[in-house]
Amino acid sequence: MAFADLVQFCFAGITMGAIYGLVAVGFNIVFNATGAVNFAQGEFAMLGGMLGAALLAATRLPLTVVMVITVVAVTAIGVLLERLAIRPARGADVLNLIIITIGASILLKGAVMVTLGKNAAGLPAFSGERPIWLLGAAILPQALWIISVAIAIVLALQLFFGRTLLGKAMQAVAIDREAARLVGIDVGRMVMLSFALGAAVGAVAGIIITPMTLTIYDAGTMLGLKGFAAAVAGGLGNTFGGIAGGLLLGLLEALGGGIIASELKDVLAFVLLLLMLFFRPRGLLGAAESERV
Amino acid sequence: MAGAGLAAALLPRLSARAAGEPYKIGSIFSYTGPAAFLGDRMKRSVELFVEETNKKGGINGHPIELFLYDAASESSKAVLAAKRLIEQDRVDVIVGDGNRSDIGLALVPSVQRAQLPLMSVSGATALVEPVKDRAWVFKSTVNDVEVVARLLDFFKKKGLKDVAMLNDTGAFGVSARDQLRAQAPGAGVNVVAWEEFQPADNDLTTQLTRIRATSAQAIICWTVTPAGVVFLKNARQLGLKQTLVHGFGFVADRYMQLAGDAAEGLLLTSLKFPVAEQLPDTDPIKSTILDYKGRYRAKYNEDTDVYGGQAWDGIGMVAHAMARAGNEKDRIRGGLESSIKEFKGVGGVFTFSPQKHWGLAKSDVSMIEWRQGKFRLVDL
Amino acid sequence: MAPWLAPNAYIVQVLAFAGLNVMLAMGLNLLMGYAGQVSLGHAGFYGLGAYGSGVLGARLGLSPWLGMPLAACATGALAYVIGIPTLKLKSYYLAMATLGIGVVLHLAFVQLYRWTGGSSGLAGIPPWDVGPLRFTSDLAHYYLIWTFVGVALWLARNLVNSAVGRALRAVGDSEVAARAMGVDASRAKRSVFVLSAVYASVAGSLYAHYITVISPEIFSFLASVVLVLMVAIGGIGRYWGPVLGALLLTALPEYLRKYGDYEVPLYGLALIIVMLFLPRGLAGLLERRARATPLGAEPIAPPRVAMPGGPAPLLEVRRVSKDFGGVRALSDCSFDVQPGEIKAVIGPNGAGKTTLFNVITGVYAPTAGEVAFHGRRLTGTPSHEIARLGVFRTFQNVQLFGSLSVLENVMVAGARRRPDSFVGAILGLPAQRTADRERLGRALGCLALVGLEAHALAPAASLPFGQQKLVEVARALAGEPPLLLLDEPAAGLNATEKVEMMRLIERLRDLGIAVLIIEHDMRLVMGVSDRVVVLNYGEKIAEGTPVEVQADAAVVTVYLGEDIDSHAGS
Repeated sequence: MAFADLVQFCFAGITMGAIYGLVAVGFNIVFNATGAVNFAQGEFAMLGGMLGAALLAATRLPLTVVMVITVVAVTAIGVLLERLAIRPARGADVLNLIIITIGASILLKGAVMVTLGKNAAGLPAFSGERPIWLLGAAILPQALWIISVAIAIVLALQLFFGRTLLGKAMQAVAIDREAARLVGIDVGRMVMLSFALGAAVGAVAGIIITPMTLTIYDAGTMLGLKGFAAAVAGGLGNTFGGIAGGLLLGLLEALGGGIIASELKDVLAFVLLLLMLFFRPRGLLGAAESERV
Repeated sequence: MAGAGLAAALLPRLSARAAGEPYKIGSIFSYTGPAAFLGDRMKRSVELFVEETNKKGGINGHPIELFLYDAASESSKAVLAAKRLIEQDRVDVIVGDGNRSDIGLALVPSVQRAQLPLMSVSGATALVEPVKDRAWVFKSTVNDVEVVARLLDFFKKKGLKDVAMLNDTGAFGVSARDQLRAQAPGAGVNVVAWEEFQPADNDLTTQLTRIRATSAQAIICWTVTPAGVVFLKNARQLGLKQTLVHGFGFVADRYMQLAGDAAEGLLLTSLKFPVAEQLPDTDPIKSTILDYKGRYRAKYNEDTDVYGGQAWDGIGMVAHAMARAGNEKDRIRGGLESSIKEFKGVGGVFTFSPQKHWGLAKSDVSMIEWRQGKFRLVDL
Repeated sequence: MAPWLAPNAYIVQVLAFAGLNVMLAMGLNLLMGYAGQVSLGHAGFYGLGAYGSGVLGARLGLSPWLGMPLAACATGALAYVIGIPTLKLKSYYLAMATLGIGVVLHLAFVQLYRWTGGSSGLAGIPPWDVGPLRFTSDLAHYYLIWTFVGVALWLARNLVNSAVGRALRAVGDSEVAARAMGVDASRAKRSVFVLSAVYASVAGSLYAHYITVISPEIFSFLASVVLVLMVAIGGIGRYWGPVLGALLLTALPEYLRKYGDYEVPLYGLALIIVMLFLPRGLAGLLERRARATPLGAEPIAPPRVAMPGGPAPLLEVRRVSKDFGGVRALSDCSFDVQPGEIKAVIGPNGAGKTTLFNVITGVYAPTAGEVAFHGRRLTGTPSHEIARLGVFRTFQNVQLFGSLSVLENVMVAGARRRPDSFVGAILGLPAQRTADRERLGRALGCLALVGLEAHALAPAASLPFGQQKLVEVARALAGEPPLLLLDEPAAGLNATEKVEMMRLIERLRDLGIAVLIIEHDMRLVMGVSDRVVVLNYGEKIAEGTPVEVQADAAVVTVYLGEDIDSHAGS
């Protein structure tokens, strides 16, 4: 195996890993506020891609304007979802919330299918499609966009949660809901905000990956599945963990598929993830297990 | 309790103007789920055909009553739909098999047991072979046996000896893989790499990097999903100079447009459908294709594709047989075997016989390429 | 389900499919609803059953009657093996692991195409037959499937009504508490995991030989999600829930067919609406108030503990240390408890008292040192084994089993001496039923001792906090333990309740039970204890009679010079 090939596999793994990681970060934001995994998270990414593509085709607005409108629209959908389906279920079990988000995911998928159609859609690459050659391997400028946006989002979230009052309030809800309520934090608003943030991150992810991977109305399922795997592998609730889990999954797929056999790509990745969970039952960056008794 | 609700769920019937007792045709396509992008145009084509036929007075004065169900890209749903068509709607014939080979295969036992003719629109050879166990199944498209044979002929003609195969793990992809494995040695073509990907994958640089390390002169990609576009983009990203070839599941303008420059010069195995305009006027099916395309465009204000054409041919042949043999199930079957001779469809010229339930041959498959925004005929 | 109401074979087939889904959802509900273990990969086991007997039939010509049990055994064995590491995981990590197992199995069906036919599907599976008679009609299959469903429902009914079923719910509610009451949680989880996998496998075989063609997509991740939906929509943890959920979610898509493309969003919307308006699922509609049926058993008072012979102390704590990361919660701590003795452990918050209990009961392994009971080394013994040896406890933050009644909570611990077998439970063996009736009497006796017999049938979570603490004592008492560990029994109680608790502890002494108490309430400590151990920063700083300890200079310093008495009730 040539060195250049190995580098190429790593590029592929890192790029896909950043995509999974971005979805995982969205999972984590909502998880922290609600304790539930939002199974519609993959649909936010799909919506970002599909709405963006539809808007661009229909209006011919500049790409940046389309992106802004799309992110705002998807964020609004996230808020609506929280308002109409999550909030009315206040006090429900975590399982109920999960079923609601599964229902929402099917609803969003179906709504896009009915309104925007069943065909795949794409977006133009931000900086062209001429590959950059590095250590004998080719990487697309769009992949660099994906990786840098992923890093930027994680850093921005870190600043937001660590430095701003609003962010700290959201952290407080994540750590102890009841205590947060007692010190006067509006927990309901924080939950809504988490859906807004989760949807926005999802939409951004959808927009930046669509030039490379295309999108289609049911693309959210696969993204959600891999994003969930990444979030858990990294340690649920941990923002850096989400990216780390994504990179782990992406690299396992690319290296396993590249070095051993492409048809075993997913099998290898999932078997290794399982083994990792058996040895680190709380994920890569998850807190060590301690039972309060 | 579930029964009452289900029984009440009847489809809106298409209004019948013709006088005779209606001929009942059932249809199963996947117009939701992952196979929806194929099934949508198939469904619309069948609806268009029924509407036009009924406007013209039906089949010998018998209007067509269409019962249309979604298989949702799931075989168990398709099996239920078939059961409903057979037992509740009591249709005379079924056109459409959920438009995926594995779904079609799941329907075979049901129609065999019910002794009801089924017109399949999927590629796998096993749908109609062996005929003695598939007496009630016909097919309105080409078998992948012939498509792969046609492709191997082309490689031989062009002197391409080493090729790589990159197929998706869906039924369409693996069926072609198995055909290539069986036929390549006999054709003197050496398959130097067998790579696979999941139908929903969106990065194929790993597989292409592995292929890059081999002596392959051409890379065949076999899929119906958008991953085929990713294949083209990734091949361009890696600067691959090999001849790129797509199977007959990828012949769609919108896929080419999504791939942009990366699709330039791509070779495809295809029926003549996409290049109808360029066919000589003497070609027997040129006018049929143009006629179907025009009607579809007039009705739906969008372009159809070769897969919609498969459904159009399917119901066209069934109607042809019913016009000659009536609507009894075994007579429809007999009618298909005896009256579909040199039938000019949009996919090719069909001839059925009691020994052969698929109508097309290797000669109906041609090699085309995408160049400057259009499919062009390379090798008829 | 009455097929004679069905107008035609299509409806019969829908009902047959519904039967398969009932079987799948029923198994999954035992796992998710009762034992509290999420599975997002159950369709994989469904596929194993289908491909197991399907491949044996199609490739080797094996009869389904042989293929189905073979596949079920293989699936059960596989579930047993992968259950060992998988079921150690909790909540979403468990969900992820089961999802991974489902994905891997699905991909195996695709990739092992030489056997399975891969994505093109496996055709030529032999149909069901009896001798020369082949099952051809849908009605025959309908009866066949619903016969199996009937058996599955019967087995599940036996299980949920048995002591094992109660133990499963206990595990689902609080695994730590269940272990502390002598429930072998790992074994219980593994058993129910195997059972639900076998249910799925049998359903898979039934499907494969009915339709005679299978393909991998039937057993994909999405199919697993639909099964979870059936359980949740029907009503998780409720016996009839999965039946209702499976019937609804089989019929709904068929009904929605008439809406064409709109079927997909409407289905999603329906799920949301059901969950919002019926948070407890469809079965919640059928729920009645707790039955006031006669219990059919007379209370049996808890027996006196037989005094073991020999001079050995009942419990020996020998130089125990416990570190958490860099923090030393317990440091070189030693003391004994004699049979029948009441000993209190006191010390400021963070002194390591609860850690001590957790080390004794096997929740934590000590970093150094060891604990012995009746001269037998406990260190390294799993929590439930320690309970079965005779060490029971209560919890500082009450850990009752929320889905059980007060009485059932107490009965969980009553299975200590002779835990029922899982197989016996699903078969509903009469011997086990008789044993459980006796347990009922003993549990009532324990409730009578704490004065809560009138609340026996109330849901445990519905009682006020003070009574919940009493239920915990009654529950621990039902294990008939020679040694009882009470973790802050008086915390959160009002003055009257505290007095009651003191009286209760006196009664425990009368029964010959040795009691180790953690408590901050000094009146209670000084009032009931024979001896007192004082911990500070994980170290034992004093031990003696209440009078001795109160006079100890070191103890007085720790309590900041206050009179220990004034610390009461803080």
